[in-house]
Order: sequence, then C-alpha cells, then structure tokens
Amino acid sequence: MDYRTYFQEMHTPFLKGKAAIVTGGDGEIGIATAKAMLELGADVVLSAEQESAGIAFLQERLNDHGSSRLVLYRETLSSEETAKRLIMTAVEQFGHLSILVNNFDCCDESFITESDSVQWDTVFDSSVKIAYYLSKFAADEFIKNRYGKIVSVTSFFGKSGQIATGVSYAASKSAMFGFSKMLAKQLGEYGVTVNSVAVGLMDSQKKLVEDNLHLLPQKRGARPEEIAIPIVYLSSKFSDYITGYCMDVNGGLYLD
Amino acid sequence: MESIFTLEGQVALVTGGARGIGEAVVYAFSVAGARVIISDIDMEKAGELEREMTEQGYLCEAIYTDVSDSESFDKAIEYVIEKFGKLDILVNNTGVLIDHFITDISDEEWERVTGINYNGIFYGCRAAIRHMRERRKGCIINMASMGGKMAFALPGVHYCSTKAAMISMTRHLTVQESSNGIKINAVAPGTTLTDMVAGRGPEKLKSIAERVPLKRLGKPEEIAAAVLFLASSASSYIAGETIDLNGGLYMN
Repeated sequence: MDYRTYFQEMHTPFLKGKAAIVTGGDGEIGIATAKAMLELGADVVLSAEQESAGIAFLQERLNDHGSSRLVLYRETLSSEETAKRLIMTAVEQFGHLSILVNNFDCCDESFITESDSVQWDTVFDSSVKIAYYLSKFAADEFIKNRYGKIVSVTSFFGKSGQIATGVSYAASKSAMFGFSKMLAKQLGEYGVTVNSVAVGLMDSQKKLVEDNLHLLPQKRGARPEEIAIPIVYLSSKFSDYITGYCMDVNGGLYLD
Repeated sequence: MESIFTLEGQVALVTGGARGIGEAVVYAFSVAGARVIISDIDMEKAGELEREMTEQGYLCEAIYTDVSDSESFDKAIEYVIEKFGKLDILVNNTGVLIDHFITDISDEEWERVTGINYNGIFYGCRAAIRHMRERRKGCIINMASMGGKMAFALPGVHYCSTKAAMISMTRHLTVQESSNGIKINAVAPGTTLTDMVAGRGPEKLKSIAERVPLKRLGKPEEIAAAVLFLASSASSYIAGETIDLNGGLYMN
C-alpha cells in the first residue's frame, strides 16, 4: 500500500464525487453536517422544512461558488412516499447516492404517567420509522453500486439513564442501535457500512448543560461541528472498515 | 479550508512505530504535518523507517524504547520534551500477540505479554500525563484490540485481558484527566493484515475474513486513519472512547 497517497487524500476535499442526503436540516447538527460535507466536496440534499439563518448561509456560500451542490428538500418526512421521494431527489439531481445521514430530533420529556400513546407514536414515526424507510430505499442504491454509507445520529439518552427525559425519546434513540447493527450485518457483504453517532449534550442546551456540569469532564456541551466532523469521518472512505459501530461523541459524559 | 485532520506543528511519539500499524501511524501523522518520533525496541527497523521518511522530507526520528521498562519509557519521553520542547500526542501502539492456550502459557510468557501490553501502557500514560498536565494540553491514543471486547478462542488470554484492561484504563483516565485538557481514546482493531498475524497462515486468516460482515480483514492504513482522527481536532468532543475497527465482526 502506498501510505503516502492514502494519507495525503485525507487532507483534500475527499467527499468530491459523493452524493449525500442529510435529514434534520432544521437543527444545528443537520446544518453543520451539510456544511462540512459541502466544504469537503460532496453534493448534498438537505431535508429542511423551514428557512433559517443556517440554510441561508449555506445557500449564499454556494452561490459564491456558482454551483448547485446543495438541494433543499422541503416536504415533511412523514411517510414511506415522502422518504422515497427524498432518496429519488438525490438520485435524480446527482445521478447516484453514496451517503445517508439519518438525523432526527423529536423530543419528548414527559413523565410516564403524563405521556400518551399519540406522543409515543409521533416520536417513533418521525425518527425510527423514517430512518427505516430512508435506509431501505437507500439500500437499493447502495447495493446496486456496491458502496454506501449510512450514519444515524442517535443519543446518549438511548444508552444511559443518568439524565431524565421522556421514555419514548430514550426508547427511540436506543432503537437506532439495534437497527444500525442489524443493517450493518445485512449490508456488509455489499461493501456498505452502517454506523451511528451517540451525541451527548449540546452547548445550545444551556440549562441541561448547566444542571449537569458535574457529569461533563470538559465542563461544556458539544458544538455542532464537533458532531458533524465525526459524521463526516464515518461517511468517508477512511472509515471503510468500521461498521456496526456506535461512536460516542459526548465529551466523556457517558463511557460504556 | 484547513484540513480537518491536520497535525501541523505537533510533536507525536508512536511506540512500536517501526512496523505494522505503527508504521502506518507514522505515515499518517507525518503527512498530517506532525514531527513524529518512531519509538521502538528494534532500532534497525526504526532507523530504516526514519531514513525512508526523512528522504521524503518528513520530520521523523527513531528512538529506542523498551515500553515494558518504566525507566526506558520515561527516558524516551524526557528526551522528546527536552529536544522539541513538548509532547502533544502519545500513541501507545506497541503490543505483542501470542496464540496460546492458558496451559501453554509459561510464567515468563505471561510476564512478557503483560509487561509490554499492560505495564507499557501504564508507563506511557503516566509519563505523558505528567507533562501534559503541566501544559494542560495533550492527547493519548491506546492501541487496544477487538480481543479486549469479544471472546475469541484463538488469541491467548494474556493478550485479550491486557487489551481489555487498556480499554478500562482509557475510560478511567478520561474521567480523571479530561479537566486537565488531556484527551484519551483508544482504537480496537479486528484482525489486521500485518506481520503480527501472518504466523496464523493464509487458511486461518481466510476463515476469519469469511466471518467478517465486510468479508475481509483490516488494513493498517485504515487503523492509522482512525488514530489520526482521534489525534486531530476532528475528535475534540470524543473522550474515553474506543473505536471499533473490525468490519462488523464484533458489534458492541
């Protein structure tokens, strides 16, 4: 192996020629991931329902470059059809699909006796079920190309009961671990890797961070790019031997 | 845009740097802009790599280190700090693998394996942390193994248990040292194509590869890329983590 050439590529726009779908574009992790991927040369379809300063920044930046490497998908991801349309948008716009980032954040903080099944279904339907649909349709493309990367953003709340939140939220985040591992097993022979990133607390969650400083060795939450770059790493060829793995990106909040 | 994996201006010491995964890490760090100290017990191989790297314009230097001897490890780290003013990154990569059943492991063999794989990590972390604490900055990456997580009949219990201990040490030191600005993580490779496993023979290696969901064994550069990820600011919010690099053979 020519190590020099391999490692030199790590310092280039190494996602050039890759087409990615990033969901959760209404949140800071989705925006930061799309930004990092665009900067590293990927074409990106970002699923985002609302206008935001983050999206405006990405669009302006791309206008500067005079390209159309960013496509916004504005429909709510609420069904098998909308998920399929998102996958097809990438395939039609860019001719192929190489990366899927399942990133959802539907939160429920209710105490169990105050929770209800509608809320439970909303949390699961808008995250686990959509991840299932998207992964299923993306898998068709990936198997065909014998290459693909799925990275699902999940949470330490799916692993640890240290900090209180709603049970539906914790269960939905936990579900993504089993989902990712079995998908990794099924798709491995096609050269497709499937991993997840378990996020701790974000800096933007000011009250949560303040209340739990004693659990945070770095005494702070994560900045969005600190989640986005690990997602990029797991979406790149440099992680080709990593699959079925969950990367904890939590600053030492929870070590399993 | 600056590379997300840059190590420009940093000083790194890689134990067991002369061959296998260590050699790939030396390349990864050098290409990323670091000054790399190739620490090894085999000075002939280390010297060869130093020449190879220097000829390509990289800042590398070979240094003798017996990681199982605390004095030797301390001296190596002191030398680096004295000569270059600092140590930013320590990669505890040296390891020895022996495929023996417990009844075939002599006391001497147990001492040797635990001396290198376990004591060596402790000596390295202790020496580096003394220095990194003063600077309130530093990064340590420990080379663990899938064998430290997954029960696998082939490798000896000395190898697997020392690798498990290393994962535990990584977590524990993170809790103790993160607030001092020190980032400590590990990587756990599965079977990787190096001299270390060549003795198992092609048939055995093929049968292992068949069990891996990705249907192949790991390559040294893939492990080194993960080490570079952990050494760089790309992993600034990752602490006490062990990256599994095993093609899906073991999913935690």
